Amino acid sequence: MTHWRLHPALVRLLRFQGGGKLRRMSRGFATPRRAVLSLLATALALVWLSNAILSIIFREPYPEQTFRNWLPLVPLLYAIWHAVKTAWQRPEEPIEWTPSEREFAVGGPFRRRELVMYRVAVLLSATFLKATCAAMLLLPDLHIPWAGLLGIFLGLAFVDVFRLLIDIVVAQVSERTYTILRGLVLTAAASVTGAALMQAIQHSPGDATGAGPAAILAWVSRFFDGALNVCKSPIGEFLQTPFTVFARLVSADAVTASLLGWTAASVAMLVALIEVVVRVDSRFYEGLSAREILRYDEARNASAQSAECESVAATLPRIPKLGGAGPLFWRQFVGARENAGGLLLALTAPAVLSCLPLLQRYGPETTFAYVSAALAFYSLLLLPAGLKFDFRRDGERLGIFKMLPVRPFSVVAGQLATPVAIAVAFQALVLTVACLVRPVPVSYLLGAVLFLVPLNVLIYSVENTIFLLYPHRLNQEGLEVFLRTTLMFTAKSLLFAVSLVVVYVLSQVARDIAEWRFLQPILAGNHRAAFAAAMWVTVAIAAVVCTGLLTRVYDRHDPCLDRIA
Amino acid sequence: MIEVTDFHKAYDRTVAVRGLSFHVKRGEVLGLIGPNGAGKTTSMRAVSGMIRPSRGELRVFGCDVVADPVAAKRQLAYVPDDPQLFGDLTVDQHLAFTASAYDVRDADEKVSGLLETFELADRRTKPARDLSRGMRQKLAICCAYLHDPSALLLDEPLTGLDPHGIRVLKRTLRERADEGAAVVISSHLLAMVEDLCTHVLILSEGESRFFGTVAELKSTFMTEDDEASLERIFFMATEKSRPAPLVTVAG
Repeated sequence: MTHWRLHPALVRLLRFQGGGKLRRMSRGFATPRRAVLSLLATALALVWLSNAILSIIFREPYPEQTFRNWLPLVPLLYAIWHAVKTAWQRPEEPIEWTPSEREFAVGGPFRRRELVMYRVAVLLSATFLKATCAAMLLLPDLHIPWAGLLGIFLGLAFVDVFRLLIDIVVAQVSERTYTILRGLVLTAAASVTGAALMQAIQHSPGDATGAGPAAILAWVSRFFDGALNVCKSPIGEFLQTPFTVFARLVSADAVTASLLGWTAASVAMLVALIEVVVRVDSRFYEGLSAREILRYDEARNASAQSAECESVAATLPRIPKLGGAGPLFWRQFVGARENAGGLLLALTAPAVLSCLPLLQRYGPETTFAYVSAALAFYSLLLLPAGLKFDFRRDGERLGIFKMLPVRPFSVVAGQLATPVAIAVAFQALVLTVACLVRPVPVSYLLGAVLFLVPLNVLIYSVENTIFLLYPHRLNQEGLEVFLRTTLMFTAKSLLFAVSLVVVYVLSQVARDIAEWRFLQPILAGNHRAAFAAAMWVTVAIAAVVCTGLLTRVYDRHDPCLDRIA
Repeated sequence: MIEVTDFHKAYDRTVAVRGLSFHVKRGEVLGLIGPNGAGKTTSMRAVSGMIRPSRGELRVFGCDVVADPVAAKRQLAYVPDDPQLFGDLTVDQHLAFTASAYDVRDADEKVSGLLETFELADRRTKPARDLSRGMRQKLAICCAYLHDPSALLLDEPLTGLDPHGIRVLKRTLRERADEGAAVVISSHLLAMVEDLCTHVLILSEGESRFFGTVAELKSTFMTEDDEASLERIFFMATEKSRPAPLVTVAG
């Protein structure tokens, strides 16, 4: 067994970092504007949390068998998700270090296994927070809360350490082996999803014409039932085996000798996995020199070849100026192109969720309306988190923008253009698929896309305005993310509620608008066209107002005073 | 002694350093000079144990940096060109961590002395993210000095320092060399190299163009007409169209 000691200096570092994070959070109250927003976020978080706690306390426990079925499945899905992610994009290093960790910890006089243990400790402290939240959510189903918390913590820790192991192994294997593994993992994941989908389709009732959201929820439930059935196959059962140990601990209903046995087994499994990680990493570390020599030879050959091709003239890309917005748009677009893999992954969830109405047997027009509405909803809720190619990616570079000889409005336009363009292209693609599956007149598609342009400008203006008022780093973790997400989620919910009111009001006045004499030649009394036009005009006005507000906020932003907390 | 023998390093499809050899004995100060992308930082990082050499042997006072990195790292300190501190940790906490990592005795006394010397005493409780560029550089230097390393590697150490900081750094570097440390400084400030260094290593396109004492450098490149300045020598040695012969004078 490896010598399991975490260097005292690294323990100190962990403690200092924990204290430092708390100190950073207190900076959220440093200026009046930050204090107002922080207080608002805290109040909202408390409201949401109390609501969640109350609904947990008063909710009915899940059926015992369903709970027991799902317990080993959730961590398995989490592990599979990470395997798919790693197959999609290979990690550059077995263990990712922050620049300061690289300098002080990796550069310090620590043994490799001490560094790996430090990484595991960081991982486990984050896992404990996740496990506590999960245990709170499952409180009504836990017969022995402490055993539940322990089981969830050990189970999640097992998955997190397993993820680390995947990264270390993937970083070790050759390019050819990685390609083979990638193919296998992606094929397996696609097969399981396909099988679950087939089961859901087979079990869907033939006359499904129920109400929209309820029918969609039923369909999602059938999909998960299908996934559960797939996991009950011999391979699924085999893969679940390690997680059933943790599940026994979570679902224990009395303190017995067997509970202690399951606890010991769970701890032993986690310890064994950590040992495997340390050993595999050590093997990786020892093999580094041989791989470095290979890499050096490849690089030497490549540089010799490139020296022969040096005569090829390089040409600079031609970027339209567009008042200064062009280069900014181009820069963000190049960034998006470089992150195409991650971007595709981020767009998958909203695409799948928006397309769910296609699985129902509605008429073409109703389906198109549902897909469009779902797309607008998820574009508001999920898409901005995946499309951060705007001010949010440039929190540390706002001073540079201020130095550019470009008017504030052009900077804003250049910064918003990329996420808006990608969002519109993505939405147009989803709607085109919807049109192909359930054909509707092309005018519907064009109208929807026309509507989505100002809607996206509105969404990204609001996102960026909040960001500039309350700048933050993209890779924040812990309570700060929770408070920020609460604030953003509430703001978006309010925005969505306001838009629903607007939709209702416009639907009521659309018939009157259609009858307006001066609009008669255009609308010819068509109240649907009047509604669509009124909606477009309203959203466009809101987009213009919000863009103006964003421009003003950017113009007044002081990169020295409004530094990132 | 810092000993680098036939060091090679490649990144992806680029060869950054090829066949570099040099040594720095106790009390010597080596100035590493060369154009951007010559391989100075790569060489320093490799000696510090932060990156692995593709080929070659690197030793710090007898300890192989690859085979026994912990022993080698215990004897050296590296200050990178852009120190990456923990933003949330205070000045004191950085030094406390360093003291703990290197088992520094009398850390409190040493820390107070260093902070006084580098004018950071009134910033002890400030988190690193609130420090200016120069102050971060000073803190990184304090962390490097804290365990009295036998080998000091400093990459562009004057960046961001105020005149007082520059003077203090030069003085303390000389003192540490006099006390027996082997010092390597990478810099583009040729006057400083001329002023502070006993030896010079000129790197260009990943290869050594000259390695020897400052006097040997001048005698190698001095023409009959005039006495060559280090700046003139630098251009003579690194000019692409007329690369200088590879010269190693130091024994």
